[in-house]
Amino acid sequence: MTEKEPKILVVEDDASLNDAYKTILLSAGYDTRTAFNGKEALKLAKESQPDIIFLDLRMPVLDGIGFLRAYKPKTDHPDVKIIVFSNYDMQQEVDEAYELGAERYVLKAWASPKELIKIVKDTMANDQE
Amino acid sequence: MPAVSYISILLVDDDKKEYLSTNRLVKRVTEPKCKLEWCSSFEKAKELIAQHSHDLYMIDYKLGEHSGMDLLRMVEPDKRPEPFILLTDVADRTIERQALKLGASDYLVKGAFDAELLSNSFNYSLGRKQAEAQRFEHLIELNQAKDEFISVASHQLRTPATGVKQYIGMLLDGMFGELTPTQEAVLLKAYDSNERQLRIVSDLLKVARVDAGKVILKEAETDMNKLLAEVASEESEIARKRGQKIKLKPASKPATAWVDKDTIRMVFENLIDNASKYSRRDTTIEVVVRVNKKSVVVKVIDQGVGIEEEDLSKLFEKFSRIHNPLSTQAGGSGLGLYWAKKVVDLHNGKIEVESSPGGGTTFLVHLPRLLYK
Ligand SMILES: Nc1ncnc2c1ncn2[C@@H]1O[C@H](COP(=O)(O)OP(=O)(O)O)[C@@H](O)[C@H]1O
Ligand SMILES: [Mg+2]
Repeated sequence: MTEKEPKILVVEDDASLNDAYKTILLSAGYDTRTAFNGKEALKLAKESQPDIIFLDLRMPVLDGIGFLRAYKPKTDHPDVKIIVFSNYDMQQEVDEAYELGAERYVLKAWASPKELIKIVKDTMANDQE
Repeated sequence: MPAVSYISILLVDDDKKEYLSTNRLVKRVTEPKCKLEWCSSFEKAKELIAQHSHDLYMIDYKLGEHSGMDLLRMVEPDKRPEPFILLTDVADRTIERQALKLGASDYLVKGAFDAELLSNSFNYSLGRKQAEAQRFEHLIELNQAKDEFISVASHQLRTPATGVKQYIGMLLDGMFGELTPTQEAVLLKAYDSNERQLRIVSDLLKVARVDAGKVILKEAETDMNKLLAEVASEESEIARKRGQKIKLKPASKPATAWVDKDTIRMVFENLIDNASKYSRRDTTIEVVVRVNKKSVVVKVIDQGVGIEEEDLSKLFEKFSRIHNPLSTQAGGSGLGLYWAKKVVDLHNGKIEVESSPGGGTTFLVHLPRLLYK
């Protein structure tokens, strides 16, 4: 079984974190792009057709929920895996994200670089089942 | 037809003549327009007041074997008459002072008031009630602002600490070259410090949420044997690093509790984490599940340093870090048990502790088995 290398889009407004995730994922060999808000993410997602999107919720211009509403994962992008990656563990927001088609919610603060890569691997492995 | 609105007043007095004469006066009060109702029994009055049946209460000082002031003393704050005017037979400064201290808005001597005095007294009492309600609302707003502040501040602290975690994590993972053992050791310390900070922030957020009444339990039938097996296996990794074992003794019959699984899971993570933190190497932590008639009881038993008797009562307070031989090294926020007790209480459960210095500690958690309606 040859595993396809996933294309990843990271949507994160904090510059330092955005850079960190990019460095980690690139060094693990994944084709990775990053956006700083939901609006940029919509544009990049259209251009690059990612397999996995790491999506922050609280962002300027267009937030994560706004991105999900416009991107319509359930109907328009059923094959794209969206991992909500936020430090705001507000039940209501998380529930809403799930309803809009997010696959998983991870508290950013709990994910070390190793865990970030594990999330990518797990997501791809689940996809093969 | 214009609606006529009345101020409803309840007179609590065991003497009917008193009602008739007061009612005559009340009828002459036009500002505000009032309707007087009468209740002669203490018990019935207590019931009505608890339901906030009227806009204002006039209560006789002597009510059979009770004093009208018992209606203030004997009942919970939200079941007291608000506002209320105390009536007495004779002017008595001591009673007056006592009545005002207990929250009466005014004090009238029977036979010594006319319609005008009544009108003034009603207006004053009602105005005071409104002012108090406003002050109360203001306090609630202040408190909400405080909760909101803690929540926003804590969330904001998470982001930079998450950044530190990534960059130190990358170094530790060897992404920028191999580390010398000393470099690695130093970075591990920085990483652990940062982890502690993240945990404290999480604890603060959990506590802020429960204090603000924002924890909404999603209760369901939960197999406690299974849940504890999962928690014990998760925690065994950390225990193993400390040279400790976790031994699970499940109940022999189904141990189904009516709880919010995720929340209760965190309670036991906390308790087992404590049991391990405050125990030395080569000890065992026992987790025992038992089924009682109305509850599932889970015991977390450790062979650790124990707790001094005088400290037992402080355990469940906020920020209650209690010094013991392992506490400096263990680290923590002193919020874990405070939070655990709060959410166990929300489940109508109970959390208890038995301990002796040097003799280990046992935490018992009682959780409801059935849904009581
Ligand atoms: N199993 C235990 N054995 C001994 N002491 C304990 C145990 N659990 C809790 N304590 C004491 O109670 C205090 C409060 O516990 P907790 O609220 O969990 O805060 P923390 O562990 O973060 O200090 C601890 O500081 C410790 O002194
Ligand atoms: Mg603790």
